[in-house]
Amino acid sequence: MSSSTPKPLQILNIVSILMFIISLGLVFFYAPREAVMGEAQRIFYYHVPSAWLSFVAFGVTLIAGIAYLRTSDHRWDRLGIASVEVGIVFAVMALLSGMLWARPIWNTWWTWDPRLTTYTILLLIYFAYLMLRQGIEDPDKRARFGSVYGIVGFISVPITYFSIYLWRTIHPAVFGRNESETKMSMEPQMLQTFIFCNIFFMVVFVTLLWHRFRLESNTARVEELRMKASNA
Amino acid sequence: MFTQTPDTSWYMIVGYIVFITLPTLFIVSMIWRHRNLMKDEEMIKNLLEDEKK
Amino acid sequence: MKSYLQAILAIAHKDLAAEIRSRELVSAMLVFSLLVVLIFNFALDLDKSARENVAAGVLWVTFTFAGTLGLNRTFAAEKDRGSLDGLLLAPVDRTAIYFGKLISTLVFMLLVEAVVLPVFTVLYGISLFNILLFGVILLGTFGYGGVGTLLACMAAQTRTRDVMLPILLFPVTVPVMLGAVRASTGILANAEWGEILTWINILVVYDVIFVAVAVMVFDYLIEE
Repeated sequence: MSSSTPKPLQILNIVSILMFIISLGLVFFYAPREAVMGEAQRIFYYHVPSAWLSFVAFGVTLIAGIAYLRTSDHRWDRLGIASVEVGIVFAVMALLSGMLWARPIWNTWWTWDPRLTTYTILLLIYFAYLMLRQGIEDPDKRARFGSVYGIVGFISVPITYFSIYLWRTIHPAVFGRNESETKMSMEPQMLQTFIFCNIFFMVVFVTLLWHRFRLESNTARVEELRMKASNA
Repeated sequence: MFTQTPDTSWYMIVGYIVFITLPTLFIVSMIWRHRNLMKDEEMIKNLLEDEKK
Repeated sequence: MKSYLQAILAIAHKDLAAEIRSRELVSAMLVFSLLVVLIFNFALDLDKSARENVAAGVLWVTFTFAGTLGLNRTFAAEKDRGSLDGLLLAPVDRTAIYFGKLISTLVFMLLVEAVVLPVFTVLYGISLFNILLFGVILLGTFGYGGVGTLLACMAAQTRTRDVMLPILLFPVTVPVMLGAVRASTGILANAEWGEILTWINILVVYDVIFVAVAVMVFDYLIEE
């Protein structure tokens, strides 16, 4: 963005773009077409990494929240909010692409299965996180409240998952998942593509997180300047 | 027996449109926020300069 | 230790005494609960068998909605009167404020529930007088109030206040809702004990974890 972009971040930018092009090449031209699901199976190469990296992102927010409460160092809080935004982008991607995959394969856009339901609740928690921060002006208070909600929200996720899992096993879903549909035969080219996409997403995650962190630092700096101006 | 592979390319295409659009929107929003921020900073700095004079 | 308990009771007592004088909050929660029960009956157009299926769900939606009403007031009232600062000056551990507020919230919610239960029994024709169900209601209310008190303290200090609380609270309390509704449904349908126990276990685990977390982080919400 600005001219002062640090060297490692510049390298990450370029690596991300290169890996993006290579990954698209692998997904569309290298990996063979899956016999049972057809082309829609290719969604999986991007869907899985975006889903698990969104969890990593919210986990980073949890850790940053704990670290902020312990140290009161605002850099932790900036990391927390940056990670939530990146996590939401990944989570929405995973959710929408999952629906696009489920429609032809399971013949429905949506199912109340534990993973899907928990995931949606998770997303709502982090939307609430953003709204909470928006409603607080004092930067210290915003950081403290954000940290607390980031902790409480993330801790609730495993219990939510477990309770919905129990609910679903006691009350079986309306339609069963066909075993042959969920298990796919991974050919070596598919596996290679999948692994590459996962690494690609990790790189993108770090790159986006870093950019968003820098934006947050700049925001804080301008905010401080504004305070100084209004006091002068 | 030969089983036909269903044609699901439409879903794949929409899926990858989602994968490309969302991060792009995020990056655009970051650039936009950054621009606004720089403008604000410039303005406040000018304001502070004026006051010093 | 003794003074800590005294502080908790003093805070709870202050809220309860104010409520006995004005009766504003509990009466509002009550009327609201009864309205919810009625509205559900119209909205779902319930016949006898349908009523049995959805009774536990309607009951818990009523409790949680009434609960948010009460929770919204606990800290907002202090904020308006500016009496939170006075509380903070008191030489006690801050978590005493949390427990004091939790107790008064629980008393309000349980009072409302005590009135809703017989009314519900009459209107829906399902007997809710079951000692096991009371236990589940107690556990569910405790978990909901425990997280609710923490988040209400946060919500009261934001710009949008009342609107903020349900948004913060509902996604985090999904396990309480699910556990309480499933356990209550099981009890009302005379389900197997093992099935009911699973849900009660979830409620207990949730209550323990979240009240512990709330105690650990509450300090950070009222630093001035």
